[in-house]
Parts: sequence; structure tokens; C-alpha cells
Amino acid sequence: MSATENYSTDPTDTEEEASDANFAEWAPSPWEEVKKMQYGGDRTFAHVVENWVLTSKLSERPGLEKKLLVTLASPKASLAAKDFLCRMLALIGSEFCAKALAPLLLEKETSHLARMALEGIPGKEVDDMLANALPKLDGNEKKGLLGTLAVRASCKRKTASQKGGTK
Amino acid sequence: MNSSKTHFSRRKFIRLGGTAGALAAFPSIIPAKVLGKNAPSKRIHFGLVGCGIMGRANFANIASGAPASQGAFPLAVCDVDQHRCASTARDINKALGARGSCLQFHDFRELTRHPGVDAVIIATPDHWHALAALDAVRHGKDVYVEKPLTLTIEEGRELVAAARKHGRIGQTGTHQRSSRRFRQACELVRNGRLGKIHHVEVFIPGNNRHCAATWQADPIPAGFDYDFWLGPAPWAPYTRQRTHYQFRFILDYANGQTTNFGAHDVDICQWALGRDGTGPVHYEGYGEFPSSGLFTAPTLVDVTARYEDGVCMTLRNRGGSGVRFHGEKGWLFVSRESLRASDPSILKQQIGPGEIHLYESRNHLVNFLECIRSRQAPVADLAIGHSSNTICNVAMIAMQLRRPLRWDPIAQEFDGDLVANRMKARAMRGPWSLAHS
Repeated sequence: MSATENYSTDPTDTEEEASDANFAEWAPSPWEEVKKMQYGGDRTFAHVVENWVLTSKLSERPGLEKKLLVTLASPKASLAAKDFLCRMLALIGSEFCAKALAPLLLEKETSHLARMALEGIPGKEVDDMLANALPKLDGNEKKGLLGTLAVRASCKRKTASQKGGTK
Repeated sequence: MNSSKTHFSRRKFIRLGGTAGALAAFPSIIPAKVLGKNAPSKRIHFGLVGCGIMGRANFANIASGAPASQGAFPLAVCDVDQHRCASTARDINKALGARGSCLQFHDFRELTRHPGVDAVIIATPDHWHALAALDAVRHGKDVYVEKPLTLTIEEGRELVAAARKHGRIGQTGTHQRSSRRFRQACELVRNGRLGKIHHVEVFIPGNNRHCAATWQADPIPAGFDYDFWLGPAPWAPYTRQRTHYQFRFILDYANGQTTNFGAHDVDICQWALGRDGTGPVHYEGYGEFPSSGLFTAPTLVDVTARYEDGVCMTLRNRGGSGVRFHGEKGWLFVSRESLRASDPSILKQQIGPGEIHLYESRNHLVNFLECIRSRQAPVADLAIGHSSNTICNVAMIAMQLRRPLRWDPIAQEFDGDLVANRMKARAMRGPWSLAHS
């Protein structure tokens, strides 16, 4: 693949180029703006990031995932920002999310957001993290996690039966 | 029955009260299944979950006219909005008079577990359809589920499997299948009056009432259990435009007109082409999604889907609602208002005895009642509703991803697209789950 074909509009891949451009000195970074999101506030910058995620190529996703996780870990990230970032991770997240989302899973306010990201991400790391969190939760958060574990178990059964059927 | 007759205003419904009361013959609550298949009374006791426009209209039909004469009885209503629940029960009770009274529930699980309820009408916002219907079928109730059948593809799959497992009858609220005009159009197409079909245009209305780029939280109205209303959806502050009716323009709860009207008109395309249980295999979509504001459903919908044999279906929100079939010999357009063809003589043609005659239902609710008794599949069986709704859901995903997608309608999987496959399902806020509602 040529260098041109590798070019991406994702700022994660073009950070250096962007920092050289004049506009970068005054143009707000969508990633920084996303941290300040509020429910009911303008979500134009989130819309930009969402489009990057939705239209990303496979090769761009690890970089985007990293950026999403870094933004999520920022102490400046609001609840609305965490909500948005978890939705994005649900789409392109990998097992790297397990460790990063573990603290959110245990908080009442963000537990659902973490599950929203993790439920569809396959892998042992996520399985283990969810299983370890179970005794630490109660109430609706625990019931929600039990639901997630049931959904993941059901997905595994379906995958196994499909593989069995094609042999 | 003409579909327009299924829409009752509240005033008209109350006027019909005397008829409904007279037709509700027995005050006792004995579920039909206790009486057995051939019991003479065979009164079917209905519960309603969701007392909005459609729920009230459906329950009004049960409390009056033909369905009631066949022994349907409105036993219970449920809504998380106390005012809506109470006013619906009040209207039903007026209709019943001294012959009985309608029970009221706040939590649908009390209604779906009530031993006197035989069948449940689910007319909640879309994000609740699957959970309420699943709970009903798991507790031995037959279900009539408003369209779109479910919010996500996985929910639909789960509901169809559960209804089958528990032996329940399920009707999808795509009532155009019970319209003579739509059936006539579909029979003409199916029997080759247009020759080989190469293109079907599906038109849906526009999305999204006006909303500003930002919004403010409002106080939650007294008597409205907002947290229960949100249910499995992610938490968000209450704002007036979020809930009743306009929820359908917010992707956390619905998929806009793509599934709202798409569920009706894509369903007609499927019926006419004889594709129930399957669907297109290739999708490309362009949608314009609001970059800010409360509403998130696309304001412009433009999707092209192709069936395996090359027949093309387009889904667009331009030019009102309806379906136009293009074939070798001309075109035919059908909507709730009209049936037209490039050659008007096509519309006068009869379908002969040796030709394909589609399932004839003249009233969607009556058909459901008949099927509850006969245990035969209704005209818009849940599996049919699921396959039509899945096309709308895949169309939504294609618009969001803006890339061509290859879809296997039997395995219900996207071919090699991780993001698209993840969009088939959504995690639910606790305590809700498809595994246990």
C-alpha cells in the first residue's frame, strides 16, 4: 500500500501535520471539546469524532481507540463525555478497553456506560474483568452486569454452534 | 377493513362506549386457555402496555365493534405515566359500564404475570417493545406488538425465538397487511401483472420536528416515572421533547421514520416480492444526521438495497409515504390514500383461482383474535415483522457507516464488518436485559 493510500483524515494519524498548519493554533481540537460536553449542550465536536469512528478503516481503529481511552481517562471528562466516549468504544473497542473501563464499571453513575462499551467486545480479558467486578456490585448495576454476562455467554454459544455447523 | 377506521379519537372512543359495554358479555376473569380450545365463551382478556396514541386506538378497537363481538375484553392497562394510565382506564371503564372495570398497572411485569390476561398489546416506545413482549411470551401470553417490532436486530431475533419456544401467537402491528388495497397491490405484483420487477421505491415521511442545537433539562412531570420510561436506554436528563411521540426521533429509543414508517412500507415490498423471512443482501446508504440538538435520527434518508437476484429497493424520505413497483410492463404505486398504475387496466385485473392468493385479513386485531383461538400464524407473524424491520435496521446502519455492506439475511450477520455487526445490539441499563426482563 502506498503512502497516499495510508493517508487518513483521522487527526490521530495526522497530528504532526496538523500541528504544523496555521489553523491548528486557533482551531479547537474536537478531542478537547468532547471532554467538556454537557447533556443538552452543543455536540458538534462529538459529531465530528463520531464520524471518524463510524467511517474509520480497520487500520485507523487502534489509534482512534487509544485516543478515545486517553480522552476518557482525563479528569476533565464530564459525565456526558464519558457517555459519548463509551458509545464510541462500543463500536471499535478492543480488549485494551478492559483495564481502562474497570474503574467506571464499579461506579454507580458510570457502570452502565462501561458495560455499554464492553458488552460487545469479545475476549478473555473482558470476560475476566466483568467476572471480577460482579461481587463488587449490587442493585441495578449488578443486575445489569448479570445481563451483560448472559448476553456474552449467548453470543459465544451462537458462535460455537455456527462454527460447528460449518465444519 | 379500511385502515383509516382503525384510528379512533378519544371523543369517538367514548361515544362508542355503550356498544363496547353491551358486547362485553361476561364480567368474570377466566383466561381463555383455561376454558379450552372449543369453550363456547372463548373470551380473550387483553392487557395493554403503553397508553399512547396507538395503544389507546387498539384498545378502543377491542372495546368496540367487530373484535369485541368475537369476545375480546379489555382487562388491564399499564403505563409509567400515571395520568395516561388513569385516563385510558377511565375511558375503558366508561365503555364497560356496570359490566366490569379495567385494572391499572404501573409496572408491565404485573400485567404480563396476571393470570387473567391472555394476550398483551405492546404499544410502548420502541426501546421497550422487546422487553415487554419477551416478558409476556415467557409468561404464556400471546402478543400484539406495535411496529417497528423491536429497536435492534438482536432484540427481534430473541423475540421471535422466544415466541416460538413458548408456543405463543404474535402479531406485528404492520396493519397494512390487513388492508384490501395493499393486498390487491401485492397480489398484482406477485402474479406478474407488471412482469419481472426490477426496482421498488419505498417512500417514507420526513423525520424530526424542529429542535434547537441545544436543549435544557425540564422538571419531570408529577406522576411520570421517568426512570422507568428510560428503562434499558442510557440515562439522560428529562426534557419535554424526549418522551411522548417525539422519542422516535432520538436514536436511543427509536430509529426515526426509517423504522417507523419503513416498517410498514418495506413490509409491503417484502410481501409483494414474496421475500418474507429473507431480504436484500447488499446495502448502500446516505443519511444526514443532525450534528447537534436533541434529535438524532437522520433528516435525510437515502438507501439502496439489492436482493440476491438483483432486484433493487430504494428507501427515501422524499415524496410522502407509499411503495412504487417498477416492472417490465410498467409501474404500480400503492399508499394508504391511493392505488395507481402506469396502465389503469392493470388494477381491474382479477387474480384467478390458479394464481397466488395472499393471506387475507380484513382487520388486523380480528385476525390476531382468530389466530389466538386457532393457534395459526397471523398475517403479520412476529417472524415476518422481524424480517421487514431488520431491513430498516440494516438500512439505518448503512446510513451511519456510509459504506457498502454485505448482509446475510438468514444468518443475520454482516459479512466482514465488525462495527456493523456490533450495531445489531445494544447493552441495556440495569436491571434490564434480554435474558431476564
